[in-house]
Amino acid sequence: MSNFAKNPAEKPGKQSGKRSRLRNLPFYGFFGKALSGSGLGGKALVIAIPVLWLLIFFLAPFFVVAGISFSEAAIARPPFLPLWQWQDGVFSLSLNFGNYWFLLEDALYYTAYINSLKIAFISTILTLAVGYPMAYMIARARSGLRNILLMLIILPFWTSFLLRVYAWIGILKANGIINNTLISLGIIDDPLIMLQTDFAVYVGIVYTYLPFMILPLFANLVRMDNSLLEAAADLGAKPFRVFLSVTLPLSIPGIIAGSMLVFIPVVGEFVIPELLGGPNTLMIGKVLWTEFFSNRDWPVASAVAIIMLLILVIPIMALQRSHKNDQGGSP
Amino acid sequence: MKETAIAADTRPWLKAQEKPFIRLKNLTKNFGDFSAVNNVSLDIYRSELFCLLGGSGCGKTTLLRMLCGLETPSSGSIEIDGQDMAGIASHERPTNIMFQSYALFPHMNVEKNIAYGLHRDRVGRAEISYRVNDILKLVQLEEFAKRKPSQLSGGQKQRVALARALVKNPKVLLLDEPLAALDKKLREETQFELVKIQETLGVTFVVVTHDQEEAMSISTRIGVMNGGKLVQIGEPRQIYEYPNSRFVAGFIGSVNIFEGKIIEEQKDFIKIGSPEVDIEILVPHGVSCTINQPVAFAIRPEKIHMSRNKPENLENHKNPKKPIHRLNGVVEEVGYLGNISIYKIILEGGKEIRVTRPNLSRVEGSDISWDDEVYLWFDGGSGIVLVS
Repeated sequence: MSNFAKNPAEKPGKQSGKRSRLRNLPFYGFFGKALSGSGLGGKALVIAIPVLWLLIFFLAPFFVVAGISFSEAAIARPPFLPLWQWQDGVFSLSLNFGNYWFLLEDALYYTAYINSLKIAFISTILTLAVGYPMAYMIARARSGLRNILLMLIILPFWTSFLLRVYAWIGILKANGIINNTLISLGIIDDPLIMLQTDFAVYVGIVYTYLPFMILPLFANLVRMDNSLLEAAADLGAKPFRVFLSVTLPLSIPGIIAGSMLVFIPVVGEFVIPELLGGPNTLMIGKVLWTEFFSNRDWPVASAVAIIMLLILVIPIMALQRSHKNDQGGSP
Repeated sequence: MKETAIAADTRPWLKAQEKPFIRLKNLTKNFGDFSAVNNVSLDIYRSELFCLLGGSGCGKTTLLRMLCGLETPSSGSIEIDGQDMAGIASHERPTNIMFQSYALFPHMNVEKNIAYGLHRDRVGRAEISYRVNDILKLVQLEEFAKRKPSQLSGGQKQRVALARALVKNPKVLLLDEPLAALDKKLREETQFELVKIQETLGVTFVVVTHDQEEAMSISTRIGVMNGGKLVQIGEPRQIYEYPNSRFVAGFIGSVNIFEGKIIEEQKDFIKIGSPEVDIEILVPHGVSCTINQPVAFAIRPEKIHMSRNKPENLENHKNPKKPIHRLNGVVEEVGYLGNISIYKIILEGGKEIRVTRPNLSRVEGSDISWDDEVYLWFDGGSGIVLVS
């Protein structure tokens, strides 16, 4: 019982603050003084590392590409003219907007962008349709089984992405596994044409990007407070209604995260449409590749890349905004 | 005479012909080898505020969850208002539960949370808004209707959860530790509010709690649970003054227990010899027992009197109607709680007991203090003889 106080005369109390004890530690004194002397706290140091990382590995390449997109192509090494010059005491900066103008003029680019967005959108929906039930099942499984199922989701990452896409060629081609099976069973006489169609591209994309949809969805669903579902059932909701009115709306952050992780890389996807798609599968990643390596027109290729980035940044920003409003909303 | 009439009216469990509203028969729930609820039979009457009281893991929450269909009993039956609940899913039962965590839907505002159950029942739009407003008024949350749960305080969330469960007019409202998340002051206020709401609506409440004070102050009857079994059912006063076992005596309030055995049995009193104190304890009420049977004499700390001066004019120890027993001891520790003080006393034989005393005076010097030699006395009739 904590109600009993010792005789106050026997035990004189001794007070010491935690903070003052922390200050007495030698390392705290050293770093504390050095950081506060330079006007930086420990927090600033912690934030500085990722900021530096982003500057070096994201922003710097971005500016290089942006710079190239404003220059002119040339038969040289590197295959473009410098953006600025310093000659006879004159600094001249020439920005060539012609590359961007060229993208607008040629319908090929416009069609490729739209087609990429369409393929990305449809495959995101397909991935979500396949991934949501899987993530839900894994989240609901008992914990031992859950770890095994999660392992199975991550397992394909252990082999090369390229190999796995090649494997799909073996499955889908005219004398591949599917066609051979169906013919030997007598279901079809002539092989189905699956390879080099949009269908094959969707199969490849859904297969490859499924883990990126499942993992964030799983992380969201596994944290779902079970008592919310029980409360809904107790208040008279049938199981499917519980899912529609509680589980689904509460998993929207997971759906958004998973969809972004699929949609964004699929827009720029190159390998899958190149290997599984036909000549009609026009995607901006393929166009980019052709400009860069076949035509060696680096400025136009860079302009294509920058436009793609802009197209993707706008929905990301809009999404983040809506997410922020949703979380920290005021009455 | 009038008083007894009212008392009889409000206590249906005293009438043999009264039909129970909730009837549990041999209810058992096993999780693997572990029996969370073990053969519980219990009758609860209409408009009761029944408390299931017990420590953590005693099965009280499992019992509650079986009542609303969130757990399926391993064996036994549940009957609510004459209807057998076997095979009836949670969303079809005439019960609603208020969760310990409140389980408010975070993506809906207060109004929508409360209306959720009514929408499921396909109640008309106009009636929903009428009933939601009504219940918001009852729990005094009208101006918070548009807030999200994350913008509410703990006490407000508690009231939303209560409103959401009550708005469906359930036959039985189940409350799982309804006040546990509130701080002490708010808890005491809310206790009375809860009782008031229960009395206004006349809904049968079954409350699960581990807090014996809470159970004592709100309930019509208490069921004390231990290890999956219902060990005693009774009105708060019954449970406190006449516990039927060492467990109940120790769980509800604090108690001094003298282990011993019966050395003499007469028609209207028994005599207990305890090696822990050098007196024979005379208890005037009849207990069915045999000579030499091991028993315990239990007495509450507030029922032992204490003084620094030798008490004069005390009744004779031998008077079997009011047998006064005297003890001597030394104060070991003092706990000052404001309204009362708790004293830990070492008796002459070395046995340690607790005595509480109201602090009637504000002056410090008049108090009994550390290392004081004190005289103690108690009436044998104010203690209980425990055989189990």
